[in-house]
Amino acid sequence: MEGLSRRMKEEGQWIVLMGFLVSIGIFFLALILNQSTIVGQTTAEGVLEFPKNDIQDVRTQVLDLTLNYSVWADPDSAPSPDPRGLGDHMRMAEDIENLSQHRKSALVNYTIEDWETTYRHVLIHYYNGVFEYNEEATVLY
Amino acid sequence: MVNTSGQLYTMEGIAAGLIMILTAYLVLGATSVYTPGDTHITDMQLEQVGSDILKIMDTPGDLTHPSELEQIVAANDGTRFEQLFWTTYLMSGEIAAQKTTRAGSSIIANATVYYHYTDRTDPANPVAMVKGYQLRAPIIPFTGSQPGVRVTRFVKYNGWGSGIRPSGIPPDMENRPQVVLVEVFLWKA
Repeated sequence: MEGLSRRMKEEGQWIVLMGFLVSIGIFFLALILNQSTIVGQTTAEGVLEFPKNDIQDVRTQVLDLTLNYSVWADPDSAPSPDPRGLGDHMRMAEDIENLSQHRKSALVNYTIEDWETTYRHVLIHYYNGVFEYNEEATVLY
Repeated sequence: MVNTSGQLYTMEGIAAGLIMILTAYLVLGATSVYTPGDTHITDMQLEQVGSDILKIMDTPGDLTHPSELEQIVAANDGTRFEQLFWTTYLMSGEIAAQKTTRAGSSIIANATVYYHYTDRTDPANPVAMVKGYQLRAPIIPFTGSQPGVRVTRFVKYNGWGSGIRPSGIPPDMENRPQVVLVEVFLWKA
């Protein structure tokens, strides 16, 4: 290295240093890329941890019962002429509550708020200790 | 050349700083290791597929007939359940990645029907009870070592009316219109 001038030695140092900085930059980018897979995984887990299927199931069944069976408590109306009786609906509501509690560890109940000739109004409550879901639904005849 | 060497020292300082930050990041990140064993991707997929199949089975073809799942529960027909759940839906090319047979698949299912009744042995103190009976047994018994998922569906059951109690229906199940819970336990053997 005797023949190299002082200036050329300094340029060599610059090149080495810049190469080093660029390599650290690439390493950082690799770390970010690595994180992206985990982000997708945890998001998917979070989505499925939400009891979507349970809520949809309860909701479908409650709306079906509300539409097709007599209402057990409506202060404004006379008892339903529907032959599919009042008591049946009450016991079926108890079925849903008890089965949810015993098998799904979820508190479920629903109240039919309003009963008219053209529509019924129902409040659905679902709570499994982590997620709470309340819905006010209107069922049209 | 005071200027040039000063620039060089600055760049060296920056490089050293980056190395220190990187080291600190790696050291802190090493405490939480996220392994593939922590994820339940396959379980989640199984859960979604199972729920979807039960939903399909509980959807009536038209408004005048009960759904297939309601008919299966009413007849306590485990064979038909197996045929629909497996052959028609789970093993179809539309749902599984590849059309396959039950023997070729390692997914095992156990179907149970849970019902609610009131225990009136003490008439003054009725107790709400939930019990279940098996709708379809798994082809291989569950050993407990495999991770499994549970999918459920509420199904309407009208009872057996004035007829005789169907075979397989437990004696404490009440004969009335009711809602039962069909629970399918799925796992990979």
